[in-house]
Amino acid sequence: MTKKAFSPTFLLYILLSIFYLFTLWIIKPQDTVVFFLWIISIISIVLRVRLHNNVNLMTIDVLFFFILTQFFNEASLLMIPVVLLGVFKLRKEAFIFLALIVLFYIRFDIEKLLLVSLSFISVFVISQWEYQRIEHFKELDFSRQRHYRLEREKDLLIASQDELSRISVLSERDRIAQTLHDDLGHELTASLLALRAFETLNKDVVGNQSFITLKTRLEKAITSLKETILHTKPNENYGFDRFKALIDDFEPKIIKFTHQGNLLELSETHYYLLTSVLKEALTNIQKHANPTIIEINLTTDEPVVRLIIKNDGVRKDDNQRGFGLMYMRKKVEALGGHLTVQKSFNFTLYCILPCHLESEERL
Amino acid sequence: MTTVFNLVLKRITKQKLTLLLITIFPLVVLVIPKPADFETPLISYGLIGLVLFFSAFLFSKQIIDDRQYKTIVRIAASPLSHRDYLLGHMLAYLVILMLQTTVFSFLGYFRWQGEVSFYLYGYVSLFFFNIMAISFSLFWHTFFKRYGTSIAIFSIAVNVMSLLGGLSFPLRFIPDNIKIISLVLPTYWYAYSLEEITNKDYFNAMMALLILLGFAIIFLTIGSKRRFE
Repeated sequence: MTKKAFSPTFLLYILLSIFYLFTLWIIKPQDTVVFFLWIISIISIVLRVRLHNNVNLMTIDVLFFFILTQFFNEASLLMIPVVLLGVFKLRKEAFIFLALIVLFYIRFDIEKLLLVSLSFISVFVISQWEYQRIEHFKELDFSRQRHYRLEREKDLLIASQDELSRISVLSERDRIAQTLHDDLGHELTASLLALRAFETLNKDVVGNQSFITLKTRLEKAITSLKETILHTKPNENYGFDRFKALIDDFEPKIIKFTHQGNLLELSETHYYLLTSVLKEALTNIQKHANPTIIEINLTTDEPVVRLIIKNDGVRKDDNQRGFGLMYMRKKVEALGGHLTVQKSFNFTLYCILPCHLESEERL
Repeated sequence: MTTVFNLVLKRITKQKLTLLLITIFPLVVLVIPKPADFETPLISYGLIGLVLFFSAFLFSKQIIDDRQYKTIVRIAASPLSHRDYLLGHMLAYLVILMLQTTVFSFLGYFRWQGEVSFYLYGYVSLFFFNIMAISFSLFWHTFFKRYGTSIAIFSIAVNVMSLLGGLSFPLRFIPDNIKIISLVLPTYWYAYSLEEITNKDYFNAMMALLILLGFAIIFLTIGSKRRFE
């Protein structure tokens, strides 16, 4: 409340009130008509202040009082508050009116000239104060908006970091399972086969207790290894499989997917980023476009990986910029890549990543 | 608007004792005799103006109460515009005040006699004065959060207004240098119109009424701003 009481607008109201009382003191209305005009002037000001959108109509008010000035000399003072309000709102025409008033009506009257000049200077200073205040609030709003956006980005980055480490764990588990299967598994199976061959050739070892124990333990080891591999191998998709699953699961089935180059060269981070971009792009298409075909092309061409997503369902009325793509661009750029959008007849999204990511080099 | 109007009337008529005190008791001004050197009962008309001013203020208690007890928030949430809410209230108050005015003018004619034209013009003056009084109450309430504070300061303000503005005693007794100050008070123009009717200067009397209406518009424009606290 205290802040409100000292706002420039409040000061303007006080100034206008003082001006009106002063005007009344100058014109000393002996006539009811003059006082009625004084009231009319106040009504016009109060209406302009209360209904903010009517400031443009002040020209009519000023003209009304200008015509009245021909009949009542005092009316010249009554149009000044309206002009002052215009000056406060920094309207160009208000300054012109003010100059005209000073030139044509009050130049011979020092008392009135002084009153008008003082009021004008005060209102101009107040308007500058108000202008600065508005600018300050705008800046404050902008900073607050930026702060919220950064907070959101931070949350998303933390989430993506967690997701990336989860994918790393999955890929490591897959690698271990693969090694177990390819190296140890093959060796053990070969050993068991050799043992069985030895058993067939030498019939006397069939009843040998040590031989039976060796064979049973080897069989158990192979079974146990199979179970371990089964449990270590991740159930969910990641890497290229996940990327492909996103395309396959998209409804309606209008995606045409093509790829070139050796996709095995790409790391998990590549696939994670490409999958995120694809997911965001497909969500955006579902939300904002109405395509008949979506073309997706993934090319590995040393030293870059290129993902192009193109759809023909651009809506003319849709001009909003999404937060998702903006965030994606930041993420891609952080790893030395580029994400650009081309909007014409088709909507095309280009995502270019280096084959050797900056983050991996750092590691 | 009709809903609000009916509701307000119902709310007012529920408080029977208050209603009687506000409407019937002030008619004691009818007892005041017309001085011998006065052509018209200006003193009684001035005093009834003061009484009506207070009546309008007491009726408008509902509006500040609605704000104080947050009823206004619920009203704002309902499909009822603020304009309908205000107009409904103001019309209901005006109807009651006009009833009071009609009874006063009618009985006044039998009490003091004289020309019918004065009573007719007096009635019109009171009509405009009532509108101004209601608008003023609305305007006054916008500056306060609580009814108690509002009425306490209002009592002082209205007494000063009636003293300077010619309600407590006729305008002809007020010195000219005070009249310059009281020009800005709406009460002055009510008293002025009565004075001019007595002098049979109908143009100035009507101008005074227009000025009263002007005051009412100013008060209403400021007072109609929606506030929730």
